[in-house]
Amino acid sequence: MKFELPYAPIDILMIKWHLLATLLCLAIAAAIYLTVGGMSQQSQRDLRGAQGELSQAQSSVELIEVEDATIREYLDRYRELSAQKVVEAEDRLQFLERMAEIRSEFSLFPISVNIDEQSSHRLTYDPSVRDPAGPVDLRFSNIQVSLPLLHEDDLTRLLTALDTSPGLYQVQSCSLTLRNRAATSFVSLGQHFQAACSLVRYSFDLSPQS
Amino acid sequence: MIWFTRPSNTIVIIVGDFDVQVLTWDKRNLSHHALLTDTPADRRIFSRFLLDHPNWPVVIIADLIEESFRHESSVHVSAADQKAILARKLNYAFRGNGFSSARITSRATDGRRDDHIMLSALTRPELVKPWIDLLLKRKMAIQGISSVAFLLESSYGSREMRGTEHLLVVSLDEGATLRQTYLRNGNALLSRQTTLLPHENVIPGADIYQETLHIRKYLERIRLLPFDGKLRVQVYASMDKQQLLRELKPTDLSKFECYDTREEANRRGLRSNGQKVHSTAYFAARLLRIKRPPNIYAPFEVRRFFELKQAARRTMLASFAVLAVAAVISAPSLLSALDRWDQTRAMQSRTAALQREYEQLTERFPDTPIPSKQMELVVKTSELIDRQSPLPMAAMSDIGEALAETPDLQITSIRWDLVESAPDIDYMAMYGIMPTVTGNEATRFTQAVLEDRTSLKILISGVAFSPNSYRQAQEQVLNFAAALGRNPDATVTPLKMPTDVRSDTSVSTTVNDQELRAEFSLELKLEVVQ
Repeated sequence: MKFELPYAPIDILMIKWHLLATLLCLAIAAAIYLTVGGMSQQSQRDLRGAQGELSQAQSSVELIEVEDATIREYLDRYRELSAQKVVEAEDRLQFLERMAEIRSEFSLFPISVNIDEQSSHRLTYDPSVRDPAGPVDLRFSNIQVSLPLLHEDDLTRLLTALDTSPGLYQVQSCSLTLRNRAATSFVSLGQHFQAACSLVRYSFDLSPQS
Repeated sequence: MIWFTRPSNTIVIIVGDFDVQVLTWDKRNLSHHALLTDTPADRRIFSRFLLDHPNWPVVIIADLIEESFRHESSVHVSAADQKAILARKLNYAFRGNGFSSARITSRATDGRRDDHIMLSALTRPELVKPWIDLLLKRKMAIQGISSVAFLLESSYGSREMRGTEHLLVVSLDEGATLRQTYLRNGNALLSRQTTLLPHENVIPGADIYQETLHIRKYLERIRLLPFDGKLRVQVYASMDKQQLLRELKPTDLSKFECYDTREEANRRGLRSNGQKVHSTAYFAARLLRIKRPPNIYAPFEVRRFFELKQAARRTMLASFAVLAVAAVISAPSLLSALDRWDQTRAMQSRTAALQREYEQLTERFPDTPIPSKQMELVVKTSELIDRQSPLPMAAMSDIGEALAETPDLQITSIRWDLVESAPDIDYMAMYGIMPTVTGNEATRFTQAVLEDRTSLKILISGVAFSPNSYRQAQEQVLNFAAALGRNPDATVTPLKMPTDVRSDTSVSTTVNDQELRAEFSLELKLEVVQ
């Protein structure tokens, strides 16, 4: 069905200004609507952006304050650990050298030392820690030390000397056994006791492979 | 809506039987412009006039003798059928006359309750058509064609006419042309033009009175006016109204009012520009002050340019309305956006202040070899390990002190172990910690250290001596255990006594003169507390 206008096309030109004004009004209305809509969206984006930046700045300040406090709290102790070579790779030669020094210092009988393969354990940050730093591995080696003793105090001297040596040591087990159970006199010089200790040497790896 | 229906600029053409008056309605004044006849010269004048007023809408008012009014009745039907019936009756009555109109004026109160129909038409369209053709040639917007009767009908709401049931409006022009229009309850039902006999310098009151009597009888005869209907007669003439009124004889059924058209026209803003004041022009001026004259006779073909312009005007108004609505709708959003930008600026200034504070904190930040979180983790872990790293010497010292109380005991071995204690199941369940069961022994031990659950277990083995008393040997071990047990953190468990004296086992020994030597072993458990 074809709809026919009761006007000639030229008649329509009579209202061209009306039509132009109408189109202009509609265009302005659309422009107002779209522009204001765009402004509204842009203002929302700007506000969200500003909120984000403010939040980020607040958290940055809070974070740096917390970091500042943390560093001031732990720096000295960390430096001590660093001085004790706890945050360095394990130096087994140095350990053996130290054992030799202790033996020499306290005139001990020969010391048998066995150092196991080093293992590591990835430390986990406390879940409450916001924005944790890089990974840290705790490395540990089991060391078995055994030696005959003239007197039980020799074991005390050995362990005390080791405890004050560079490094973080933990005595896991220690046994002291009378070598001759029938002996009733310990006046004579000789290997009266047998000592065997198991130690763990810890160190920290601050840049482990992920 | 009055402002919308009230015309602004309008050309008013009053078509008479012998001439045409051209007037303009502008600034609430109706001004006379030309009095034309249907001659080529006057047509040219009219064309020039139209050229000077190109976009003015045109109202044509027929003031003709040849306007016919017929009254019929028809069965009351629905709207669609009614339209068809009216069209058929109109066609039958006026034989396809293009300038005709039909309407239902009232409904009978008895019988079939038929509709009363009024049919009207300009029965000599050739008096109007030449002017319409000229207007359409110029594409002038003809708003409508009306007549004096319908002008008066539209003016019914005016103060002079309002509330009258039976009204006869009599207008006298040129001293002899008398038009009488009857309105019942505001509906024009009849209009008739007659010519009075001319009298020099005589007020034609008697003739007017006679004509009103004639038309009253006619109205009574065709049952438009009841015999006892009180008729209000308004006489408009360009003469002294007091003199005219004296000529008219009011009765119980007919009351007369007179209006001097010249005075009324002056009051209503009709500028005659030297021409005689015509009552039709006065009626038009009176109506145009209120609203547009109605279209009665113009078909769409005649009104098409007006309709086109009206449609364009309405479209434009609608678009203005859309513009206004868009502005109104957008205003809250705009205000919200401006408010959000204010908030944004406030936040940005706070952010800038915080950034400055951050810069200042950064500048006095201590030098650190590693990130603070790593540092904290390393220090705390090393301290945790350190806390669980007792040396055997403390335990040895305790054992030595306990042994001093029992000098006859001989210790043959001491085994000191830092062992993993069982996890606190309740604690782990509360904090959702899974117990570590994987890895080798060393790894499990390290995990236990990191979870701070280690304890000391010391196994002491020795030999008890007694020359001749089993009980004495037994008591030495018990005393030794009691001495060890004085440490509140220690738990002493005898694993092996010199003599097993429980009654639920068997005991074998050789009783002779030799010294009694019997082995024993004790287990000492200690919590690691430093």
